[in-house]
Amino acid sequence: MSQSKLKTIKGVHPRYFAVTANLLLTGDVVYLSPTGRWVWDVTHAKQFKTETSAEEAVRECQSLYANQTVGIYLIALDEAGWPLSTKEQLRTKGPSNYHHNNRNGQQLVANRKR
Amino acid sequence: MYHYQDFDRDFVKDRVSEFRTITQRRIDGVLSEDEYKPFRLQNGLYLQLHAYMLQVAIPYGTLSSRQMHKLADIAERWDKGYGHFTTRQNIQFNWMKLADVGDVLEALSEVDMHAIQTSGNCIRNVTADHFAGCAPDEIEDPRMVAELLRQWSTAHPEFAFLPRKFKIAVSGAPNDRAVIAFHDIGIQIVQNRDGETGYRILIGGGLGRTPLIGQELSAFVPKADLLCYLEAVMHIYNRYGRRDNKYKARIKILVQENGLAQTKAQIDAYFAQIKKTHRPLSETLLRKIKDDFALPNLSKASAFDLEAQMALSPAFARWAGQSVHAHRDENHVSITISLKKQGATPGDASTAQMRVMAELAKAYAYDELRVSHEQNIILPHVPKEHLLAIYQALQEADLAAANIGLVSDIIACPGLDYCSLATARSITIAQQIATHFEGLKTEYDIGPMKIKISGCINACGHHHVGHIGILGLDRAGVENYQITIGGDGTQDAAIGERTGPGFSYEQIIGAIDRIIAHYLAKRTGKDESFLAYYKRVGITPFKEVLYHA
Repeated sequence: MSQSKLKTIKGVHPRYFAVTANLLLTGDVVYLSPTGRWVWDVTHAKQFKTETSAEEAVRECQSLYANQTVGIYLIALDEAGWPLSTKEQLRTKGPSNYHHNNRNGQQLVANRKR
Repeated sequence: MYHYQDFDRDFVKDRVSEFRTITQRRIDGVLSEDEYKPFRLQNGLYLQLHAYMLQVAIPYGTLSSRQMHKLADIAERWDKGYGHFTTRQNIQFNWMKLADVGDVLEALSEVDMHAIQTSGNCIRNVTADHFAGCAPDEIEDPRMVAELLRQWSTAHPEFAFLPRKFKIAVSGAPNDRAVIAFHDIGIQIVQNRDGETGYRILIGGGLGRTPLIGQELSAFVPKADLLCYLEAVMHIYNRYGRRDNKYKARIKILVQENGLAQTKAQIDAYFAQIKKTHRPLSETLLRKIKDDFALPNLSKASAFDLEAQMALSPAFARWAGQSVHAHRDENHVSITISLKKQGATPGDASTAQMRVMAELAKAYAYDELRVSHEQNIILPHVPKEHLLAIYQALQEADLAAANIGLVSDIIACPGLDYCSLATARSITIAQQIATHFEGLKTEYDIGPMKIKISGCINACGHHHVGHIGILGLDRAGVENYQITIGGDGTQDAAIGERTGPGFSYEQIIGAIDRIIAHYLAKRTGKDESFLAYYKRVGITPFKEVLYHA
């Protein structure tokens, strides 16, 4: 794959990229899915193989979803499709000090194990 | 405490209505996020990592039991059953939904509260000594000044778009418990040689990426001149403060770049100009504020032998030894309720705990509570005879940790677990440090200790003034923690000295342990505090144990 403009994170080059945002009404962390919907689970996010294609998707989403979402940007994923940076891992898992996130306690079991 | 008048209530209600209207326009897509964001920020609504966060203003940290009950109701109905008390003496609700915030602001307005000016480039919530009105060393209650400044600065059109945010703190005593030297303006109530009460003004203090200790702008400003003088300060800052670079826009940078002498000359010149036409403050207003902050009608002494009670119960004695403070009235004390139970999130209180504290204030403490910048809750006026009953109620509510001023009484910002600006976690570091030393049973042996943790360079956790400061950074996606030693937020203000390279998330607890183990081994005795030891030996021995042991 082409070298990412994003810095190496934890010594690992990004393998995939995803598009993320917060929902306007709830603030929920969401990811763009392959079907063009916003989903909570990062493992269901559309995985872009190049940063350029993800950037293009970000621009498109900024135009299409400016009134449903806030702060659309791309994130780097590892081989398994999991966010590379600690910040993005916390965004998808919820805070470390309580076992909840903004989805009324519906934190995914798969996420909690990570 | 200050009681709203119709003017205040109408103003807050208008702002709630305005918030609802403009927020609905955002939801309807009429306003873009770029257009809406400055508005929501000026109403205390941030978008953080996981959700919206509403920062509610608690002027100078003072609350009634009714207000605390309302905060509990909000936490229960619109949040996740808890609130987070902050170093700004405010409370944050971390899990707000945009469509609910209008209702939350409406609920706050019912108890004369709001979230205005808890963000944005304006004058923020004015903070004050949390022992205001009760400290034995106090010259005058600093909340009277803070309230005057609140009224003056709220929605002040000239100060709505300053170069950067602006923070003012007020202390009424020579012992500084309000960290005034690290605010844009610090105000210390003093008396001159004639016994006249006035104000010593510090300027240009601050933490963040450029920590600076405030410098004395004026040794004595007479009471009648205070607002006029501060207006001159704000005018000069508004006019000359940098707007080209947000990292150099605070007044501390203006003072640093131009020098104190030039800044003072500009302020004094403008002050002289506007003083001629400055209208004196309304006597009615001043009298109302003074009346609002009069001491409650303190009860007379009844039979209570604190020493005897402490002798009967070692646990009560430990708690009282840390949490009970002298009051200006010999029959009363002040109590600090710890929101730092070892392993808990510093500053968090559950709905049930908020209600217990509110009921205790109502039943035993003249209906008043305070939020300290150290993220604890104060009952300022407590008749000594009620101490045991309060302790027992706090025990039942899991609020009786006897650790005030000790190694587990840690200030920690929300950090990377919540904050969109943060670069590392701070809450979990605080939790681990607290449980580590609880496990070692060394808290009381270590003695006075202020550990302060920030999750980024913005220093909301005041790490620069921690006896031990911890700054969480991001190094290529990995959390990394720098340590500073020797910071002091009191009248002996000092900025902590950095030890050297940082430590990983996994290493930082061990590093703190080595620092404290070294201090315990090398101090002259228990009477030599950690800070005193550092002042005697300097940073070198700490570097040795951190990097060369």
